[in-house]
Amino acid sequence: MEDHIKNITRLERLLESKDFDSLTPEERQFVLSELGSAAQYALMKKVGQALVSEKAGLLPDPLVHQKLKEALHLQRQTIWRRIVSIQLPAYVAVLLMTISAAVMSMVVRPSKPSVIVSRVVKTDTLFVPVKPDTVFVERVVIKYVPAKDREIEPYSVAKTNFDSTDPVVTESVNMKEKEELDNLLVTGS
Amino acid sequence: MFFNHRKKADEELMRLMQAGNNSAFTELYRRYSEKIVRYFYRMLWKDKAKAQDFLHDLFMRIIENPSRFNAERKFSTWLYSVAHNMCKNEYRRKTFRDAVHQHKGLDVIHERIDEIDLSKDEFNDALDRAILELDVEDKNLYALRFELELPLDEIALALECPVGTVKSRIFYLKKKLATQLEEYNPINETAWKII
Repeated sequence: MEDHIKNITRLERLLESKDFDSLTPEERQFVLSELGSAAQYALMKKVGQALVSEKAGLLPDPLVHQKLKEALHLQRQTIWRRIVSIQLPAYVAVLLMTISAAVMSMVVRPSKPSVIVSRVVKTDTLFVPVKPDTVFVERVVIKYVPAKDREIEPYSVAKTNFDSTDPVVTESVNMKEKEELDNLLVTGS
Repeated sequence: MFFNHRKKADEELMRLMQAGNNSAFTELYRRYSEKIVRYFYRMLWKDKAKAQDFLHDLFMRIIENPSRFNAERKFSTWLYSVAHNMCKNEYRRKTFRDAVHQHKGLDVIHERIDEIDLSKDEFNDALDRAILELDVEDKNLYALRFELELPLDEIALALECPVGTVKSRIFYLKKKLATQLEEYNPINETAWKII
C-alpha cells in the first residue's frame, strides 16, 4: 500500500513538473509502467493543468448576506419577545393552560403527608394569696331622702302588738355564767 | 472590534458567535462565503441560483443552531462536511425527481449545457461535462481539491480518511477524467508505444 502511494506521489510530481520528452529513461520506464503510454501521460498532464485553472467565477450574492444578517438579528431577540409574538389558535392556548395548570398542581401538591411537630410546654402557675387591706364587714349606705318627699305622719302612736304565735325568746343564764358575772361586778376584772 | 476578529481563529469566532457576537458571524461569512458558493456551484450542476440558496441555507443552519459545532473539530472541515451532506441530500432528491419524471415520460436533462461557458475551447467544455457527470463523492473531492484548493491534510480531515487515500483518490479521479477525454489526446499515441 505504501509503495502504491509512493508511486502515485512520484507520478503526480512528474506530471506537475515535466513533459514526457523531458523525462529521464528511468522516469519514462516508471511512467509507462504506471500509465501504459506517453499519450496517457500527456492527457493526464493536460487534465491536471485544466483542473487547476478551472475555477468558477461565482461570488456570493449580497442579498444572501443581507438576509442572513436579518435572520441573525431575529435570532438574538429575547426568548420572551418571541414567545409573546407567537400566535396560537384558541384551542391550543386552552390546552397549554390546562396542561400547565395540571403540572403546577402536581408540583404544588405535597408528595408526603405533613408531619405535625408538637412541643409540650409545662407551665407552672403560682398563685399568690393576697389579703386585702381593708375588709368591709358591712357597708352602711345612708340614703338621704328630702323632707318634702317624705310623708310625715302627724302623730304616730307606738303600738306593741304581741303576737302569741311568736315564740318568746328568753335568755337563760346558767350558774357558771352568773358566777362569772358576779366576779366581774365585784372585782372589776 | 470587527477588525480585531480578523486575527482570530475560526473556532474562536464560532465560540464568540455562540455567545451572541454578531460581528464574529460576519467575519466567518466573509472568510468562507466565496469558497462555499463556489463549492456548491460545482457540486450542484453549475446551477448559480441553487448555489446561492444552499449558501444561505448553510449559514442559516449555523445561525439557528450554532451549538451543533463541535469545538474539538476544525471549523473549516466541519463546514465542508455539512455542505457535503447538504449536497448528498440534494443528489438523493434529484434522483427521486428524475425517477418521477421518467415515470411520467418526461425528458430528463442531466447536464446543464446552457451553463457551460461557450467561450472556452472544446477540451474545457468536455472537461466541464465530465466533471458534471461525476458521482457525488468524486465531485466533492474535485471541489475540495481544485475549486477550493484545500491542502491534502485538510481534505483528509473533511473526508475522515488518511492523507494517502486522498492522494490516491485524486490520482484516480484525474485518470478517470483523462479516460473520458481520450479523444482530446494532445499527442499521437502510436509514437510513444512501448516496443
